[in-house]
Amino acid sequence: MLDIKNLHVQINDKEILKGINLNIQPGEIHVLMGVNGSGKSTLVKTISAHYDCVVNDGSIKYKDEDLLKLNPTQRANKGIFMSFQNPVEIPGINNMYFLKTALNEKRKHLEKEELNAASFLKLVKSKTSEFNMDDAVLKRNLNEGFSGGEKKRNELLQLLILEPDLLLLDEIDSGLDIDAIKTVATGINSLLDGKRSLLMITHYERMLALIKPDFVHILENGEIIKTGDYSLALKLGKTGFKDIGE
Amino acid sequence: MKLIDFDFENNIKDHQAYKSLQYLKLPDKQMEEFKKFDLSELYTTSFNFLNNTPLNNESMDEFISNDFHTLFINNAKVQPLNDLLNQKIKISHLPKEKNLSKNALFHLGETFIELQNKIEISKTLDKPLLIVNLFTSNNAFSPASLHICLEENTKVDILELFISSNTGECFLNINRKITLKQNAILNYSKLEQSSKNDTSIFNYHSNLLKKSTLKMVSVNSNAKKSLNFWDFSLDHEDIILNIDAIVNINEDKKSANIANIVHNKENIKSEINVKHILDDTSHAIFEVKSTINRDASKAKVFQSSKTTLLSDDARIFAQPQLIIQTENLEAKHSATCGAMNEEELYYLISRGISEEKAKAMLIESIENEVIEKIYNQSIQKFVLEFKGKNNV
Repeated sequence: MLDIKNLHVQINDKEILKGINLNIQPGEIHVLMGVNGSGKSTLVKTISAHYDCVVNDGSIKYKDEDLLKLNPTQRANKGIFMSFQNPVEIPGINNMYFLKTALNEKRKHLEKEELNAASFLKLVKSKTSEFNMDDAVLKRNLNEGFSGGEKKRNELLQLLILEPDLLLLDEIDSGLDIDAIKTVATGINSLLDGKRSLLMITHYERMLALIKPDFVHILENGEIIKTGDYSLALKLGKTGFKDIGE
Repeated sequence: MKLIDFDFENNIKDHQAYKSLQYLKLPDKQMEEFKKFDLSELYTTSFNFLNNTPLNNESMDEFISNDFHTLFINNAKVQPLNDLLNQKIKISHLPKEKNLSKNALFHLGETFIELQNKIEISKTLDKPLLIVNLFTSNNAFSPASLHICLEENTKVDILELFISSNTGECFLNINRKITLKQNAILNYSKLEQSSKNDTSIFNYHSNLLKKSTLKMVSVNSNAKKSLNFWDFSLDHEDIILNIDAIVNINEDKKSANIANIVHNKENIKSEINVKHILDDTSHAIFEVKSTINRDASKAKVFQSSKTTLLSDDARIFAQPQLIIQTENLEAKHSATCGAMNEEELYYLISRGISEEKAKAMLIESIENEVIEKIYNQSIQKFVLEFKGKNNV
């Protein structure tokens, strides 16, 4: 699904990623962990072509295609979805209108017929009721005045509607209470059908207990210093990041 | 006939108006280079001087709806449709009233009008009022004047629609005087659809009494040149004045919002916010002067110009000014200018929306932020649908 080789990325003239190698097969769940500033967010942002990230060296192949040649829109329509740590508020754009537009752009890319308003509403309501989400947010402007938790749930709703192939989740659990974390985890697990892949950034064991990773990667100073399985995350929970590279 | 050929001296009875015209300072070449908004060519263009445009039933039917009471004002004559309104609204055509506006363009328009239309509303209406102005003649100079007057304790929502459909080049000089008696509340929205070579000038002047509230929302003009001139002297206590406007222009269009607001009594709040979206070689002016005189303590005065530039050649001249002569007040002014918000754009395109579509959505979001200031939901809905249909 995703093959990253020797990736070097800088932001504002400072090198953040210093030779990342990472391979994600279809259906695999990978977790990135590390101290703040280690490069975790930069990696997922680079995969989704964020404007801050400048690739200086290395390659990223996505479904055997050179990802670095694709712009953010193309990457999204080919199935890459990044949830934001702090989703921006856009007053004046209705949330429902935004979701419908995004879905129909994807459907157009896949040469499927666009959904009309009634069909789309039916789809959205089925998702919000299945996962116990409040659909009042649909009537509001995009993320405007949303609490941190509401913003994260709105990211989840987008995931459920757009059904991407590669999910990049940047601390989707931060700011959520226990019940909300369960809702988010249930939603994400519903998408993991053995073909979809997940690359997740989280600090919380609770999230890892609900979405058990196949691989855990520790980032330090822009490099992956250790890779393990779920037991590595459990060890981190006890010892912290100090000495973990040894 | 050209305005420049008009014998002003022998045809203007109002000495003050004549003096205003004599000293009408159109931008001279030096100013023009700086501000690049020149009205002088209007005075050398041949126009048909027109005070009346005939209406047909077809053009009227389009605007009749259960959501509104609809009135037609056809440059000279107001034509009410609904007799029930006569109990709450009095419409008259009167000789021009003396006007204290300092705006020379206001007096220019008045010069060519014989009878002024006046709408006096004595009771709160159950539905908003839709006032429709249709201009269909080619190459016409169309001065139009209306005085809207609300009696004490009356609350009214008005949408005034200006539609110019012609293939030539028209000059609309629209004067609106607003009188609000004590405790009256007027939510006034203006929506304009002009032809591409038109020049439209809107001159607003007011007489607001104690505890009255005037909230105005101005939505876009697609005229070649458009000017809103807001001239308000606030002479009574406890007045609230809000003006919100959206300017979204492209090609070589020009737009100006010029305001002169004077606080003369205490506890007055005035706020003017204009959002600009400028593309190609378009140019906008935001020139707002708020004067808070010594007796105007406890004033709240806010001015804001926010501009999104979509091209390297678009220009904004923003000059918010506060002249403060009292110590007890709250005042703020700002003028910001920049390209489209990169973070917002990225959020949309990262969801698979094309960059072109995402930019259109963001432009619409800026417009919608202003349209959402329209208090009445029926008017809001009308404006959104009208814009969608006519790409205003």
